[in-house]
Amino acid sequence: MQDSFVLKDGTVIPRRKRGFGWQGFIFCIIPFISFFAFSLFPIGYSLVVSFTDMGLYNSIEPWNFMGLRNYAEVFRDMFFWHTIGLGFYCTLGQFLSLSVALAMSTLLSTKVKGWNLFSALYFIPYICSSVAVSMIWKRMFDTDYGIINEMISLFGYTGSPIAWSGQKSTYMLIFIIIQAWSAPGYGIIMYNAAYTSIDGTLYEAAKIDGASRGRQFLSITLPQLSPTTYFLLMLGIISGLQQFEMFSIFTGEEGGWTGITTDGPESMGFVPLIYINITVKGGNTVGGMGYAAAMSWFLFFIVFGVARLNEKFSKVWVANENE
Amino acid sequence: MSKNNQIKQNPLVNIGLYSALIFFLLFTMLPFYVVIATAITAASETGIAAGFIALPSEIDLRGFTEIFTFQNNLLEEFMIFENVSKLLSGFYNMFWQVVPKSIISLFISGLAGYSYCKLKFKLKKPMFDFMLATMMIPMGTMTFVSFSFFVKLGWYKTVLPLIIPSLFGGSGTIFFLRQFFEGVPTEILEAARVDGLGEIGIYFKIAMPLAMPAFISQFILGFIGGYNSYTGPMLYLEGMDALYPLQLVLTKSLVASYSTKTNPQFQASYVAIALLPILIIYLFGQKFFISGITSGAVKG
Repeated sequence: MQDSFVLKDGTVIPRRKRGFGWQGFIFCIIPFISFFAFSLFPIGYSLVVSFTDMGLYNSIEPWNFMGLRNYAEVFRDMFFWHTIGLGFYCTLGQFLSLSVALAMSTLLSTKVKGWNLFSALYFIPYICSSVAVSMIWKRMFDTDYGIINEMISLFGYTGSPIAWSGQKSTYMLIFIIIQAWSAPGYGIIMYNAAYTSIDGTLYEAAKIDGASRGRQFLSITLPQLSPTTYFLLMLGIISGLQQFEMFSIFTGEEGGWTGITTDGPESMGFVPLIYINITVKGGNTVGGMGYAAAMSWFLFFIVFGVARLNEKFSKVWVANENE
Repeated sequence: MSKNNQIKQNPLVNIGLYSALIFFLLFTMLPFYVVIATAITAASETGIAAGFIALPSEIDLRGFTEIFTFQNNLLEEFMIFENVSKLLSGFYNMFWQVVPKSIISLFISGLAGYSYCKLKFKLKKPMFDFMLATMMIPMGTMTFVSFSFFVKLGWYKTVLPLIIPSLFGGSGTIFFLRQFFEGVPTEILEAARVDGLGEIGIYFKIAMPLAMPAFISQFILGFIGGYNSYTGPMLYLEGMDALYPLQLVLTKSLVASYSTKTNPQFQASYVAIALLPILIIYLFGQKFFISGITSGAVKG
């Protein structure tokens, strides 16, 4: 870009220097500052805390720095890794709901009469609060009065009623089913949008080449939907590992568990954030804030790492439009 | 759209298609049916019969009248209004904690989104890139350690940590609104600038009205988020009964240690009433919902 214009007769007209653009800068810096002060700063604070022996969340005692000891202890804490494992187990629900969403939106993509109404109704669970959702499903999975056991017996099950929330083996299944109920609506809406953006001529061409319907689905539909699948997968993994509310409310205790149970059925609902919450509130015999902060950072990097891994791996299967 | 025309013509395939769709619809609607069925079944009936009661012997609506009169009998001195049910005070608290905040935040986000899209200023690119990068941070993992930070600030047992951090706009909203402003022709804005309107004037008089659908959809999403929020109030408002928003009232009221009414009918009525406003908003604002969700996420 020229700095000035030179007219035919030799006069130089200096171009007005474009200013800093203060107005735009100020409009954008407000959210920026707020984000620094209320999101990044607390994160930095938690990093500092993770190297100290700070007590509970409201402790006013002075802290002592103790280096990486918290991290080492968390690393050795088998129960912490148990909660991380449960976090991954919990993401199964997100995978399930992703598959359901793909299947349902594929059926809807035929544009059957009322497809709009169907997807609108499928979306409803997504906007319901996790408090209400947990309470409803808790009732539904009730051993004696729950509709789930009632329906199972309708289908010919004659054994004693299943204690869904009363045994380790089925406890997490409840939450996987809840997620498969509440999350597909979002995926369906996203897939519906992706379906409408698929170029119809691709199918015409495939038809002329004699590709079967299944072949068309595998070679055209799935690759065309892959950016959406990638996005939903990413979101699913991240939200699956950070589940808290559903589990916390399901137990019916105020603010989640008040202590740690390592052998009851609830031990299968100990997702990482529950464990961190308990540690912050003092229900854990080990450590306090420092310990909780170290756990948070472990979890942070696990979530981040999984997301990065997914991103790396995505190059293999996500169709990139820019190529 | 033409690709599946053959499918439609085959009645057998059509039946299969519909039965799959309806089967999943029944699964989706099942919990709502359970809530309604339980809410209209008299509490005395639930315990006696073995199993789930699909249809009560007679419709009993006492649960709904009970929740509107139910007061927290333990901590009456904390009540804002005398003789107001916990449910109504929950709605009231939710409303003042969520609505003004959402509106202010939306104005600020919109202004930032507008600037990122239509104004030129230095550091624009790095600031925008940074904002995008921050959206990838798994903030949920830091909920409980941030909690101790706000306690240190002295904001424990106040609504400040629920309002202030989200008052000045959010990255997601800014990003979404910026995308919407892309569709506003720059010529209109230039014309207004030539006519001597300042940037704020242009934003309020021209850009914002043009982007109204985007603002409405973001407001609805923000409102739903606030309406459903539980973890924040649960952490920060511990023990502050008078400030409990709806979801917290709902949780606490159904916990045995807090209320004496824990029968299924009472609980189901409570859940039904708490879900109703969201369902009504969804019914009327469905279009905004879907546009807000699908255009908020970019491909790839």
